[in-house]
Amino acid sequence: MKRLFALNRWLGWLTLSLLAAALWLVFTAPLDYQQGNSVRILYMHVPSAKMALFVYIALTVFSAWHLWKKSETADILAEASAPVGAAFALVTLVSGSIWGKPMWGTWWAWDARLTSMLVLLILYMGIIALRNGIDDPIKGGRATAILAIFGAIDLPIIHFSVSWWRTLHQPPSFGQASTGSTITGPLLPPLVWMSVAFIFLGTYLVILKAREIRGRRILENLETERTSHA
Amino acid sequence: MPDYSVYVIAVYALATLVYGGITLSSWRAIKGIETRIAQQKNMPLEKKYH
Repeated sequence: MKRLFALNRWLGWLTLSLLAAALWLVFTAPLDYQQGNSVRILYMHVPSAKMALFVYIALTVFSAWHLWKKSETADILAEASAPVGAAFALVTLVSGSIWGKPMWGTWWAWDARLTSMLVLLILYMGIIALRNGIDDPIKGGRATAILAIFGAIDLPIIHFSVSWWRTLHQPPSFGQASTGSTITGPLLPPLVWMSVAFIFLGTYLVILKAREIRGRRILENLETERTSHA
Repeated sequence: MPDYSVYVIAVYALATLVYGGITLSSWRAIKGIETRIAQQKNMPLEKKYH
């Protein structure tokens, strides 16, 4: 893990450069003929939503790996993924709500996509709360891993919600095999750059959080060792 | 067409706050934890246990 933490410093600089380039593209991209300036919300909303899902996939994989191999590294990475994923889900919901007001005329609707995304945020919060609520770290790790794996059922629901149900949220407009992208050419590069930058941002944040959690565990062990010798 | 700048600013300010906040809080926590680990490791045994 130490090598990963050393690499993360470079990953941080790379993320910052990619974000700067993406932001430049975002604010120089042409306006949408219908949405005007508010189309720029898309470049923050969509990458955040994709990352909220990707981080949960990673959390599920780390949880399964931890349950199967009893790996502490997997447990640390799973613990680190939850707050990062929660941050992405929070930005997705709030940015969607802010975008919804001028475009739909409402801040919120109990629509299948919005509700399933809210469930994802609640799942992330539940995973964090469950881990903090169990004193024994081994039991806490196992319980959160089981909850995370069961919670993964929400991922296909979020993804297919706009196809399965009639929703206020529009159908997918990006990355469809049959239709390609329904986003017009000049609006696409900022979205692609921002999405790539967000993959790096998510990876950077998970590794950074993992370093914090690993450090805290080492410190707790040192302090326990000290009290047991006293 | 209305100017939606205020909505755009609100979204980018929120994202900066959330992602910047999580990064800064982690950096701060790591700095504190690593300093305390170094102190624990360098502490002489008699001081460490009393």
